[in-house]
Amino acid sequence: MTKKWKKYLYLYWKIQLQNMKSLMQYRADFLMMICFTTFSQFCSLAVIGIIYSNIPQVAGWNMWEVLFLYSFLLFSEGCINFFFQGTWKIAEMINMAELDRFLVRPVPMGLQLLTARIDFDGLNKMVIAAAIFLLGCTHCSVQWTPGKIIILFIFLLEACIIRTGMIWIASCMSFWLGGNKNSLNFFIISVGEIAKYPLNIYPLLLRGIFTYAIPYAFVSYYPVGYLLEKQGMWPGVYITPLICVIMLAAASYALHRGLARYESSGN
Amino acid sequence: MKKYGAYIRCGFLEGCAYRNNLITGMLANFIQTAVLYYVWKSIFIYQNTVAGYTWEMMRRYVFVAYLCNSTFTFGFEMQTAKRIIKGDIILDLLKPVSYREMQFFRMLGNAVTEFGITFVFIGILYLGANGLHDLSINRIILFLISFMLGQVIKFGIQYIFSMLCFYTDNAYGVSKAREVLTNFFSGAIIPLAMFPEIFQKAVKYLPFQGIVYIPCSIFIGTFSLSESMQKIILQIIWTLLLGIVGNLIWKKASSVISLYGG
Repeated sequence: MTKKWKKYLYLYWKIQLQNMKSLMQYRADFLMMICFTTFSQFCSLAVIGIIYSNIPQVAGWNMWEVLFLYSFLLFSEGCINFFFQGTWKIAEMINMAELDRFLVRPVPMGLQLLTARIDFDGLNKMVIAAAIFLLGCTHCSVQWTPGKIIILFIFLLEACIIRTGMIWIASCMSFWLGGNKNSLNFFIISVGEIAKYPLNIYPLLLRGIFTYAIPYAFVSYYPVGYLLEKQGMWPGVYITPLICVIMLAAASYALHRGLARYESSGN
Repeated sequence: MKKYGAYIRCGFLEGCAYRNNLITGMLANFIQTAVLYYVWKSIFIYQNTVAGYTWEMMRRYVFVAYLCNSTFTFGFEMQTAKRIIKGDIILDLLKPVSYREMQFFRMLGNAVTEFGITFVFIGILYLGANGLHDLSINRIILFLISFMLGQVIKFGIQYIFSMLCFYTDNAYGVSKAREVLTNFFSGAIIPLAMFPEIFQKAVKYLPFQGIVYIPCSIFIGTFSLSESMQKIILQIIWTLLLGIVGNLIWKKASSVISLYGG
């Protein structure tokens, strides 16, 4: 069992290395992308900054706490972009029947799909997220103990798992939707906007949707609220591992059902 | 004129064929608007005015900004890039219509559906939240003129950005950067009046304000009627300027295409 996983990890590393090499071809693009991402993150932060320059706090959260929240969201996004960017290509691959090539290889489909692409933009996002995080938490009064630091890393891991699961499921919907473009994953990413601000400003309906249907609440709101010792975050934090398990199970179920349904379009 | 009609129809049909994209795109936009709405709502609990805006004004601003920003949003950078990489762009260049006009009328056809649905939807929400008061005919007419000009400006900016795709393969990055730039500096997220001094000065010399901020301010009445006229003239100047710049860049960019056969 462990031997099998070791082999997968090795393969993951090998394939990603090849992806990196192929990206080296486009060095100018790489630099451009870094500029664009840094710029758009600057704009997002400016929005928060401008809002808070006019008012002291939103629903009991001050600017630094909201930055803290934002860094969680950005970090998990960077993580998907860097490690699992392949999820974005599923729709196109189904449409162009490129999946056939993967089906005949003696490597699990999930691994091959996840490693279909790498995006250095993700690394940039993670670095920016770390900077925002440091900025936010030096201005918040959080008592950092070794226990809390461990919890922080667990939370980050959970956030990444949940978001990867969300994107994965949305991408796998292409098996049913068809077409060469799947806008569901764009949708999932862009509604992440909602997790930029504390969830308690929204009405019950929206809060329900983003807790139970698209579980963004567990990506940033509950973990950050818990670290900042806000009230009523306990239940959310305890459920989070369960949500992770459900997301992983649902993701693998979606892939299996999708593959069972897959008919090559021929080429 | 007939050939443009054909392109409008083509764009319209395209929009209908990919309705999933249309619907999810609109829903995503809508949720972002809802986020802004509730952020502002929770802000106005603490204070009555923010930089001269009251909650009544802000409530209207958010909805109208959504309407202004709802069409022409996705852009065609990705499409252009794909056509360049695959070599299909040559088919567009061979046609007896200029590339820009073709894109414009296609987008227009596409926008008709998008705008129609959004208009009805936002109209209902707007009336539900704000009621009928403070609506005057002159302002609505001025708003519509300013709105159309804003869309042309938006197209002009997209066109210039899509030219970048002749130099880079990274169309996603280009379209993302354009989107962020437009959203931020057009006032779609925050009214420009709330920006810090330095930004406000910079924004004055940029075309983006014509897309959302000017039509919105005309509609909600922060601009007086004479000021509205001046701003509309400013929009017209920007439309022409972007057209000329687009032409110049097109001349340069279209000469660097190297096609990989097809």
